[in-house]
Amino acid sequence: MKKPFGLAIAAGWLALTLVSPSNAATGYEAYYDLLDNTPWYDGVTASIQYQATAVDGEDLAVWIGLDNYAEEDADLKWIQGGWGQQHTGQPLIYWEYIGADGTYHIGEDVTPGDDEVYTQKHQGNQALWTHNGIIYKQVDWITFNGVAFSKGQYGAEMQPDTDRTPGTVASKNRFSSTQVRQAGGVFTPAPLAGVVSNAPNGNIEKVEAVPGSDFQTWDTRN
Amino acid sequence: MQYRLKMALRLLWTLCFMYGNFAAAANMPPILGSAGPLSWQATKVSPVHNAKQAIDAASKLLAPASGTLQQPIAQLVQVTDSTPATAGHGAVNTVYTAWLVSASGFTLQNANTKQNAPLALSALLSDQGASTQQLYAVFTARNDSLWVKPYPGMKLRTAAADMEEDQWLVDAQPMPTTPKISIEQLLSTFWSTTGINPAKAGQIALIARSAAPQLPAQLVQGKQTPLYPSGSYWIMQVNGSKTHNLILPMSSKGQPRSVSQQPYMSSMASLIRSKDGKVLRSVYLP
Repeated sequence: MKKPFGLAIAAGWLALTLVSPSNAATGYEAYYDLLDNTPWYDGVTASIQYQATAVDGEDLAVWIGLDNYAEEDADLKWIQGGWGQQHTGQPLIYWEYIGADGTYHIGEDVTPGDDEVYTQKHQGNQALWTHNGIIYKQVDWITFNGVAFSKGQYGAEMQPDTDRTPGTVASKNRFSSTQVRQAGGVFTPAPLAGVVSNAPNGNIEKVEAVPGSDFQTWDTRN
Repeated sequence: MQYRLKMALRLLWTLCFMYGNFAAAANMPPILGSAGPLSWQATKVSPVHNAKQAIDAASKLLAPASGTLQQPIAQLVQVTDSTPATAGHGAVNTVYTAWLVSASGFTLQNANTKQNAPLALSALLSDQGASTQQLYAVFTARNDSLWVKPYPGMKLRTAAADMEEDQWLVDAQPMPTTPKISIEQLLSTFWSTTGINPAKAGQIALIARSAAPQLPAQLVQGKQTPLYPSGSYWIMQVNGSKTHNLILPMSSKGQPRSVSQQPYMSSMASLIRSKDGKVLRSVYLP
């Protein structure tokens, strides 16, 4: 089986581990949901209100996505989209995936609007990435043939974890109507059953006034 | 006996073939440089324009904010463009004659940080019968001291392959153009948008192309309709630079990963709108 990405992880991490002293990690302020059986997820959507954030470190991403929750990094496959920003750059809508063959692809579109509904879903024979209904990426769904998308994840990702989580105390970074879909079904509110919050100054909370699928993030320093 | 004769003839043919290739290679001028899909060699053809005309034209086309090119050098070259067609037409390895003009004195500025970056640039100018020369491409020299190698073990892909995957439909035919905004403005906008400083990259190449981007698109009466028209674009290629970190989702093991150990992409291609330099799409490559 062809595994270029797996080989990259194995060879590269070994090489860099030997020379790099840094221990800074990737930070997440995110919720996630897991399935333990078929039908696996084949769609995810959420509205994300854009919050301008200084990127002091390398890069930042605010996203929703599906992955196969593999045990080993080299076996991870995923679909992801949202907005991201590199240090000294501007926020840009992005798409990203690793298909069944392990090949990694990522690309960018234009700057996000104040409130964008991001969706990634299986439709016909395609995987579609949309923002506010505009199709900004599509690949053949067969790219993910055999991949068990057992996890949905939604939130912010900071590189490194000491960088700023989007949102301020006064104006939090809001995800609304976060929904997932299992193959053959319809979009339903994401349970937000699991949480990962490991950014030192990051925070995440559900919006209790809205039952189910709304949540927000912020950084204590913002 | 017949077998031995056949083998001897085959050996003779092989030697002749090898000698022919060697002789042809020995007569070819050496490759002087390359940028993205472009490479160039010296040529002895008679130019339409002279070196001074080429430098004057480059000064107008590149339009540095300082007003003049500093220490310009011009050389007539034969360019080989190895861009494959993704639009279903055009050729691989298009060859043309052009003036290569190199100069310093350019300055880029990041609009987000107000940081400035000095830069030297080279340009390929058309040398055809028309009196007005135009730009094929603008690029920097390969910077070996800043060059970032691909992430170990990651399978390499061409920019053309990823542009095709992202449905840019780039025509392989060279398309000399007159920039609608200055090259400094264009590269500064690229830096401000992507965060990638062309002056700190291993090498950049900005190439004029015709393209018909199929994405983004919207559904109009059930038909997927591209938002951007087909026409003149700039294709920006960055090579030898850490262009993007590959950040994985959490694995079920959930162990923290060191940022310094994250895989990265070491090149990229961007589709840039000619009229205002807006970066419309980018793809990142191993």
